[in-house]
Parts: sequence; C-alpha cells; structure tokens
Amino acid sequence: MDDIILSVEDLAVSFRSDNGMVRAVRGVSFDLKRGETVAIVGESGSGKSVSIKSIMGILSKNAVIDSGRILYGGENLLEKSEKEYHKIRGAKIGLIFQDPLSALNPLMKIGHQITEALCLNGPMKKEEARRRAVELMESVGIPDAERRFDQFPFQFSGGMRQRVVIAIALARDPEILICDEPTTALDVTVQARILDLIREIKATRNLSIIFITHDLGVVASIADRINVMYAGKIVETGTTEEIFFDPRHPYTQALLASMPDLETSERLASIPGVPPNMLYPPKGDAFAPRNPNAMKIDFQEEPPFFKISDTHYAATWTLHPYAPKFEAPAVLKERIARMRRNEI
Amino acid sequence: MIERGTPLLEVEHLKMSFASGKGKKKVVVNAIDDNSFQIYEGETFGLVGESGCGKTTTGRAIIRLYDPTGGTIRFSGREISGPMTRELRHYLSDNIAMVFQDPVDSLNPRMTVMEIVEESLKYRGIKDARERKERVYDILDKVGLTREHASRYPHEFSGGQRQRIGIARALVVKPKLIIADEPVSALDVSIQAQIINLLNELKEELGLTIIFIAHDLSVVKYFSTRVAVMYRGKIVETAPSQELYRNPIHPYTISLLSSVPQPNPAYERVRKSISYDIARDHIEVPGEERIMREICPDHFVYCNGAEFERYQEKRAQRKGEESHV
Repeated sequence: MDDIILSVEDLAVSFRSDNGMVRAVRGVSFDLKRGETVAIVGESGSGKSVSIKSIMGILSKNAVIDSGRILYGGENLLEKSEKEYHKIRGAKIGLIFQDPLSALNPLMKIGHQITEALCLNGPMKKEEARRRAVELMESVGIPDAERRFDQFPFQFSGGMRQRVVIAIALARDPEILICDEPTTALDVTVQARILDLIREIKATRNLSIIFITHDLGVVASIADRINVMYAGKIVETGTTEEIFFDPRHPYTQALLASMPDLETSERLASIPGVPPNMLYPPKGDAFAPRNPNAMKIDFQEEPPFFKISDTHYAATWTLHPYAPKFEAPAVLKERIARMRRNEI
Repeated sequence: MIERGTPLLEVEHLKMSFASGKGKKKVVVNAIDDNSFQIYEGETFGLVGESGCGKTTTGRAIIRLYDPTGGTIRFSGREISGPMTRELRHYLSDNIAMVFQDPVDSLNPRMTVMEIVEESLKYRGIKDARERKERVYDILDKVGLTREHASRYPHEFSGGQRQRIGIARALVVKPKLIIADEPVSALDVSIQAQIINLLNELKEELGLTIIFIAHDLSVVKYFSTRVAVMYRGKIVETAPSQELYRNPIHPYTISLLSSVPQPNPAYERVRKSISYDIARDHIEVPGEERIMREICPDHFVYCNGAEFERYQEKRAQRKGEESHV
C-alpha cells in the first residue's frame, strides 16, 4: 500500500442558485500520495476549483455537499467544525491562489502579512517573527528581503507577489500544498521561475502537491499524476506519461489534439460545441454531445472506470470489451509519435 | 521563402509615450520605442512579448485609438498617422478593424447582436436598412452563427460565440487589415481551436491581412507567417515564424522560447529555461547604437556591430548543422 496522505472519496457538491441546483462536482475520487504532485486538469466550470475548496473547507455559503468523504490523517475533513478546521487549514494544508494581487492585503506591509501567518503557530517575539519571515522570504527567492519586508504589495512585481503568497503558505510548514492555477496570471518567463520554485520547495520540504490548471504545458512539466476533469467528474486518471502518450477518454484525446504545440502545422482538431450547463447535468457520458464518435449508450448510461493499467483508468464506454474499436484522431497520433521521438 | 506582395502597412520609427504627473513628478513611459516594420498583403504578422512590452499599444496606435508620439504609419501608401480628419477616420474604419481580447467587455450588453454588428455599417453611411440587415446576416453566417442569433443579447452567448460576434463586427465593413489583440486568450482551451480555425478560414476566404497580438507562443507560431518579438517597447527580432522558432538569435527571444512549457512530458523532462540578463547577454560598444540588422534573408535582429558578427557566426553554425542532418 502506498503512503496515501489525502484521499477524496465520491465527493459531490452543488450550489443553490436562483434557477435551481448547479451540480458542480458529481462524484470525484482521487488520492494524493506523500511526496508526489497530482494535477487536476479541466476547463473553467469543470469543478476543479470547487473540489479543492471543499478540501480547504472554504466553500461559499450557498454550497451543499451532497455526498463524499475527504480523509486526512484518518479523519473525515467534511465533518470538522470550523474551529477544528483552523488547526488544519494553513497549518497542514496550504493554499496558493491564482491571482497574487487579490490574495494579498494591499494596505498591509508584506512582512506583516507573513508574520501574521507565522504567529498562528503560537506566540512569538516580534524580532523572532521578523527574523523568521525574512528567512522565509529569502527561501522563496525574494532578493533584498530585509528591506522588502517593510514594503507594500503594489511595490512588488507579479512574480514577486506570487513568491510572497508562497512564503505565506509555507509559514506554518504544511505537508500538503494546493496550488490553484498559480502561474496563470504570470508571464511565461516569470512562470518558468515560479514553477522552478515550486519544484524546489517541494523537494526541500518534502511536500505533497495538488496542482490545479488548464494549461497542458504546465501539467507536463510539473505533474507526476494527472486527473482530467470534465463536467464535474474525473474522466481519466493516470501518470503524466500515460495521459499524454496514451490518452483513452475522447475528451482527453480531443483536448490534446486541439492544442497547437510548436511543431503543429495542420488544421487544429477543434472540439465542437460547448461544455454542458451544470444546472441540467447530462445523462450518461457528459462529453457525448461533443463527441462525433459517441455511441447510443453514451447518452443513456454513465460509463464506469475501465482499467488500462494499475495507475491508468478512464471512464468511457469505448473501453468496454463489446465496444467497436475507434481510431484515435490522426492529428493526435501524429502528435504522440512526435512526442515519442522527442523522448530519445 | 514567403512570397512578397506590396507592403500593406508600413510603420516607420513609431514612437508612443505616455506621461503622468506634472513638474518634478512627471514620469514619461516609452511604451513603443522607435519601431519600424512592414506588413505584407495576405500575411499574418504575429506580435509577441510579455505584458507591458507595448504590443497592444502598437496595435492601438496603428488603428489610431492612440495618437502616436512620433513616426509615420502608411496604409497602402497613404499616410494614416497625420492629424485626424473626418475623411481619414472613415478611411481607417473602412480598411482596418479590431478584434478585442475580452469577448465580455467589448460587447455592449444593452445592444442586440444585430445592433452591435450593424453599428459600423450605419456609421459608414449605408442608409438602406435592408441592405445593412442582409450584410449582417451574411457575416453572421460566415462566422458560424445563425440569423436567429441576431435578435439576442450578448449575455445569452458562450465565450466562444461572443468572440464570433466580435469577429463579425470587425469583418462586416470588409476591412483589409484585422488587428486581433489576444483574441483567444480569454477562452477555454477546447474553444480556442474553434476560433483559431475560424480566423484561418476567414483569412483564406476574404483575403485578409492579420496582425495577431498574443503572448501564447505556440498559438502565434501556429497562426502566423512572420513573427516579431517585442521587449520593453522595442522589437528585438523579426523572422518568418518557422525560422524564428528554429533559430532564435536574440537572447531575449531564446529566453522567451525556452520558458514555454510544452504539452509533452518527454520534452519537459529535458527542457531548461534560460533567463535573460541584459548585462550578461549583450556586448556594449560605447557610442554605437543598436539597429535592426539582417542576419539571414528576412531574419532581422536588433543589435550593434559586435553583436551582429557574433549572431551571424552563430546562425552560420546552425546552418552547417542543418545541412548535416
């Protein structure tokens, strides 16, 4: 048995809205093993952010948890009171948001925002807190930390702000770090440095990371395992190599085929249609209406997970032994062949 | 080699600066710092760079949303950077149109699709209401929407469809040049490909010339025939897109390209991102100014004489390697 640190089981979350219940997450299960980086990939509205908000216990008031358990340290987090949650949120599980500007208080000095988090560990002398905060700032690569301690967020660039946010998340020495699109708002060169930093702190602090993103490039560079989400469900899960070199779910295939890489010259294989409205979750395979090869059963019954390998599962009827064989799109095959050539 | 027609747009020494504050507090930002380039008929000219490098400002200065601080812009030989007159305004709106990044903010929520798309025709003095309607239906059809969509409001559409409305509005006046400012970056990945394919089809069908402004290098590479890289208000390298991505010369371009994560785990395992350091990566020659110099046909790099020699050597080396393969 692997060392599983966090486990989400059959999580389902809905939101009350004027038009009825929005079924944002519909039965999501995944494990996070110690020391690994698990990515959750999906488009906006696929339920990836709602899943991690449930883990952090920061869902908005109109959210209803329909079912599921989130197991951490042998306990179900969903049954914790707000007071008990305080001992876990931040202390055991840290969170980095997408937008580093709105995650920081614009009226508060950077240093103070870090010491504020540090002091939650227990009472601490002012000088001690300052010393530790400066250390922390240096460890996330903020130059001239002693001086910048007394500056405000607006004096920091986007990349530096994200470093501050990471420093705050690390202040209480969590064992799990959840990164919600941490580099989406940043320029590519800055993004590269922040991803390097996340890799570095993961190694030095032995962190386990849940990484949320829609960018398949970022996923390929940082994840050990990938969960692909569509319409509130995980449709495929596997190691990074399995998802990129052997995608099985029609959605994963279409997603990979629709993105140009630096070598693509042929017409892009775009995905027709739009994601479903989660007020009226579709029956069967949610991707079926956008899948040109969809079978009758895709519209009627929800596919279970079919096993491809010990680590690779996909929820699609195409893997059923009775299903007709479908060829993966030609563009995708070429892409995979190209990636494999790159491997040597 | 790309076939070259006549330049459709010629930009010479374009400068754009913004000032804020007064007296001692006055701060001048040079958003575009003396750039020259030509855009040929039928090509897609990609403009890439990081936020704040001046790529959006360049697009806006061309269509005269801003008044350039210096330099000249010529469209089909006619200068369009001079003082604004009613006639010039009409000339511009007949020939150049813009597609904006945000499909939510760029459409008036109180207007129907018909009103949004029709507006520019009204402005251009087409008085016959029936003709206007026909042209709107026609263009809606071209961008993949239907007649029924015309009476609806923007909020009834998804992001991808809204961007289609934005494209219809730009194309309804039958412009020659489209300036597309990050037209897909606000869209979901599964929708991006739809819009890129649509732009490609329309470009073929209508014979458009496109300036494509974006920060996503894979998309720019895929979509553009020629690419210019901007850094702090300055175009530092231009080349046909294949050439630029295979043989980047300017250290900033190299750094930018090496920073893009590719959806390919095999590549990602070996990719090393290279940082750009102005002091380390350039040779300073006192008294000598940098200009755009041609390294090999159609590939220009912003450099001084000493750097030019170094870059040429490097490029020749690459050529040698290529012929070996």
